[in-house]
Amino acid sequence: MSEEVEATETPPSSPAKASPPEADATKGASLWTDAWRRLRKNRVAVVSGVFIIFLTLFCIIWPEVSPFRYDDANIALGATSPSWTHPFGTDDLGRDLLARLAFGGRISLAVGIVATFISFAIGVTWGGVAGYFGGRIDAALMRIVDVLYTIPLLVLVILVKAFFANDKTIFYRWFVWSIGLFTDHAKDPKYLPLFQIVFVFAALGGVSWLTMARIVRGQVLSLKSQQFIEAARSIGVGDAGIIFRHLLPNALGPIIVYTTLTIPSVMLTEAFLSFLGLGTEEPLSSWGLLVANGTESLDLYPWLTFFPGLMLALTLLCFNFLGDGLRDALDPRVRKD
Amino acid sequence: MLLEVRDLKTHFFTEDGVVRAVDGISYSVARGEVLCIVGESGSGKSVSSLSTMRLIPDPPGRIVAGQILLEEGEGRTTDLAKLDERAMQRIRGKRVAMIFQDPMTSLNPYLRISDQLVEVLVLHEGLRKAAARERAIDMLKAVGIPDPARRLDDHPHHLSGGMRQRVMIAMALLCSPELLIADEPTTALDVTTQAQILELLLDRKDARSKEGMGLGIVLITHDLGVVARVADRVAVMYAGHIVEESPVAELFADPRHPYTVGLARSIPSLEGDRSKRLVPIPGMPPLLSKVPKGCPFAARCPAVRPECHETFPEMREVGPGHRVACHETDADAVRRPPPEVTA
Repeated sequence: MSEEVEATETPPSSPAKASPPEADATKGASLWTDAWRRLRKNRVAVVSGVFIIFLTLFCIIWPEVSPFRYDDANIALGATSPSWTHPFGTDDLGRDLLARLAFGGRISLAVGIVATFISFAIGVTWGGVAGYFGGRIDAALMRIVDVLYTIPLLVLVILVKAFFANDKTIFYRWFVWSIGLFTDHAKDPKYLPLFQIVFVFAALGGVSWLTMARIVRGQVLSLKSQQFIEAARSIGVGDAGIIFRHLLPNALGPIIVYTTLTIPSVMLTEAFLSFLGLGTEEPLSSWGLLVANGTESLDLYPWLTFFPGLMLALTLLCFNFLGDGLRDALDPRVRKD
Repeated sequence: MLLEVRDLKTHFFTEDGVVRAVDGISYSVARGEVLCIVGESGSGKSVSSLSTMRLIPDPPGRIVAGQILLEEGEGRTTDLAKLDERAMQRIRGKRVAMIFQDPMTSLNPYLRISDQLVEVLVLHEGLRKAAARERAIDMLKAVGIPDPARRLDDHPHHLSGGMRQRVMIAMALLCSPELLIADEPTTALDVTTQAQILELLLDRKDARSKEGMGLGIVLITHDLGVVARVADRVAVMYAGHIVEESPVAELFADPRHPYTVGLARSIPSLEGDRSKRLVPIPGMPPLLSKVPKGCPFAARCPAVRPECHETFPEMREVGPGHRVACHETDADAVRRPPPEVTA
């Protein structure tokens, strides 16, 4: 009651207080808040995002609490179909598929995220510099990209693994040093597969930044000729200010969208490489590797293909939906709905 | 003189050859004065103003000759054409500011108004954010934005075109520049808003004069109506040259270049005989990469003479402050109507 009296006493001076939703509209939400609000309205994107978060948490936590380790073999048990003890069954060595899936998820998701991060870091810098400075710098940088584009991924992975992924390179010493921080037996050969995966990360990241560089360059090229960049110059803003305050925030929409779409594509490539025996190696697991091994006995133990395949498909689908949702949410043309 | 441009040449080196967008222009602006540069699209008006700001994209453009002298006091000047980029950044926005044609695209859509205004003050005056916001609010009020404290945290897309142009003007005037370059500031606005923005510019200029620091304005436009309303002096540009320069009243009363005459004839007027047809200038302006020898207007000129195709006419004085570049010295011959255009 008293609130009502207050509101009627001061209606002209503070109409905003009387109607919070309107005040919200005039407050001028930033484009990011707008984007976030639109994203939340997109039910498919929200469900996908939640699923991805849940899956990531599961992959992080489950291998630690699971009664079975990913490499606990039980040859006497052999392959069993899904049961209460082994909800997703076991493989022909009697290893629990759920544990292997969770552990494989770590590698698959890590490949996706690390390689995408590499592609993001190199691609944005490379494309940004090329687009912003233009002229000869642009020509030189983009010709390098063109040349790198011609290297087939398979050849690159085979070469990198052949030349760098053995215990005689300096990279191996770095690797031993860095995991030596966590374990006393850093030279144990059981860590070698882990070492080799790092090169799959690097090779995938090293290939996927090329497209990112082209996208960012295109964005920067079209943005830098816009009047607000000229206006920013006309008030005396320097190169760094132009790039970081004025160009990149405007280019960030497409960059973020492409990034979320890179994650599934990299995961898919990792699965494909593992399928060919060039990616993750036993006894480690990744979803691609699990599918590959499962297909060898598809007619006998179909669950060995079905569950990893389902995980891979669901995750890829969710990343794609999330990417789509982000694109719609960040597209200013959708703003006036 | 606050700004004195001498024989400025800005050329663009493109694959199709050298585009002589500005080819030897000279003009000057005093404190408290409004100089209008008029001309049609592609006559080099904008390039001449961007040259003064040193905002010509390089490559392909370059100032190849001439001086842009900004007054320093005690008879000394700085030649902006020779300053390095760092020194120029300290002048832009601080001593020489610019407003642009399209207010819809000249504010960064991702930044709040406050961010963009504060940026200028932090850059040039090293103010803290809170102090800069105070100044920004005062300036928004001065350019006629209602409820500036609230508007300050809006994004550009919440403002109308006229409001955005006011914000641009506020941004340009924030550090009390000595020279303001306005590149077609009203072209993208509707007529009512146009008048308000022009009033605002004149109003700010007068306010600054009262403070004792005259603000010189270079206003680029193709609209003779705008010229008549705000200009003290006018420079008419054609194909990279200034063909006539004069005090505004004199230019309308006694134009001495056939191009100026043609421009005035092709503008509709609410006063006078409405049944009178508008007279267009026949032909097209030359491509700036292929400007013929001699006077660039010769091909369209009703008063053309043989020497027009040979040499570019020297600027000559025809009255106090009134200069023209034309071989024809007879004022009546210049005003001869063009031949009828047969459809």
